[in-house]
Amino acid sequence: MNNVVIGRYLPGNGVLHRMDPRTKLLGLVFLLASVFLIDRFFHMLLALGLIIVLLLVSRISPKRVYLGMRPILFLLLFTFIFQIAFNEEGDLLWSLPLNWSLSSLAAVVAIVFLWGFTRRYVRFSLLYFLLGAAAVLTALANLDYGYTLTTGTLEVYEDGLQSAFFIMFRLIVIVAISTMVTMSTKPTDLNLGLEYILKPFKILRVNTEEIAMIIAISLRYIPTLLDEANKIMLAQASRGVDFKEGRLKEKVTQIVSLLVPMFIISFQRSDDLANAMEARSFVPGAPRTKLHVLIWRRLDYVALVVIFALFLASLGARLV
Amino acid sequence: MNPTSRQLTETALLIAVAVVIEFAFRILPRQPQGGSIDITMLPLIILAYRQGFLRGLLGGMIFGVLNFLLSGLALHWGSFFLDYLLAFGALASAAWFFRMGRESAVYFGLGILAAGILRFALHVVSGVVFFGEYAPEGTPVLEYSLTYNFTYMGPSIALTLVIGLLIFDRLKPLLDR
Repeated sequence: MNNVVIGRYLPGNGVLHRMDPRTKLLGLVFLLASVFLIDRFFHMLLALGLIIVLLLVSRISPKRVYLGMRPILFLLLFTFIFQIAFNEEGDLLWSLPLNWSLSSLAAVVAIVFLWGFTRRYVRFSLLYFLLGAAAVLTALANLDYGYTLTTGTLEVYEDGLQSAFFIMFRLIVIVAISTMVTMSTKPTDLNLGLEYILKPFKILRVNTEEIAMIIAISLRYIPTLLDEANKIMLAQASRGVDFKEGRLKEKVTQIVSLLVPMFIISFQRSDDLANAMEARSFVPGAPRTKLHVLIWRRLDYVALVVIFALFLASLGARLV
Repeated sequence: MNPTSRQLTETALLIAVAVVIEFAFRILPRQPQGGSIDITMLPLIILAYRQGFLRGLLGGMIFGVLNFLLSGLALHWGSFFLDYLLAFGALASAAWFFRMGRESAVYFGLGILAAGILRFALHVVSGVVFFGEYAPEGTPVLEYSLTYNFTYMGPSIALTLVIGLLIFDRLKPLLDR
């Protein structure tokens, strides 16, 4: 709780760090669109190669991208297995007879339990999961003692394998692109860029300055509120609330004892801030000057040309 | 129409509370499915209670954008709009229930329930699009999306409802200033 890092920004001096946030946001939009336009395996492989080159050039460690993917790892594995097991187009590459017998089912249950209990002690969780999956398959293929319920075969087809890898690569590319942007840009800079990018929406009577203002204030107050939350927790702990232990019912009480002061503090802060702003002649909706002015540099022009070329190339590849 | 400065700062602070809850107070940390069980919705619903539907919609959408900027993942083309912009913007729909009666906690609870279910529905639609894009043909896409999203949205809605009802009376004087 003490060292919560919100956002993923890491200071650095790579190419991406020096780029204008507007360039990066436009790049994010157009490159993501390109990735969704690509529909051939070879092109996706090419995109993956380009991303790896970009990662190396911008000096962002691939390990960070992997960490960014952790939340969707489950989903990724699920779709991967799904494609391999159920896609039955193309040539048959490999098949494995499976016996759902009493002995093999018992072995599967044992393996799953063993995996569940020991996985927290193993460092490479993904590798360990694959090992567990392999063990389950081996058990299903070889153990046919006892009463056999049913038999089946696991068949891996060429198209299934290809689309499984295609999807995996696509997800890796998507996550890598967005991780690179959020890692190399401060949230406040992203907000400045966003205000600029959103300007066309003014035609729809969207108040883009207000949006940028709200995001800026939120970003400014997130650390303050975290600090306050810490104080509240310490204060409640000194009155005997234990934030680490407890069942669901006690947890709910703890959260309530934390939330009520949080809301009171944030309402107070917002009143203070509104007064302070009005005292400095802030008028909502009135034109304002900027403290930080964004400047396009040569690097940005080059990057934008490259990004647009890539977008056109993938559009062309889709249409051909 | 321009908001007052007070509305503006209040929106910003409530969004900040939502971000703090989202990142620092995972009730059950790190679900394997990716979605997490938390009460992020509560400050955004309180915003809708305080400032009405349109301002709540704006606030929810801004939270979506901020959430995306801080740790966003869009796995298919519509995900940014469905999972971030619309899903959190939809929470403002609670405001329609708050109009029926601001005094009783019943309408507050109903509002939370409706907002949560609408958000759940949007995640389900997003899941259908996602699986439609990634799963082989003939997969029961809707069922998968329903189950998958329910595993974290169900408990989240229940938790938000319980906690929302518990704090409603205590926060009432503050909410009706």
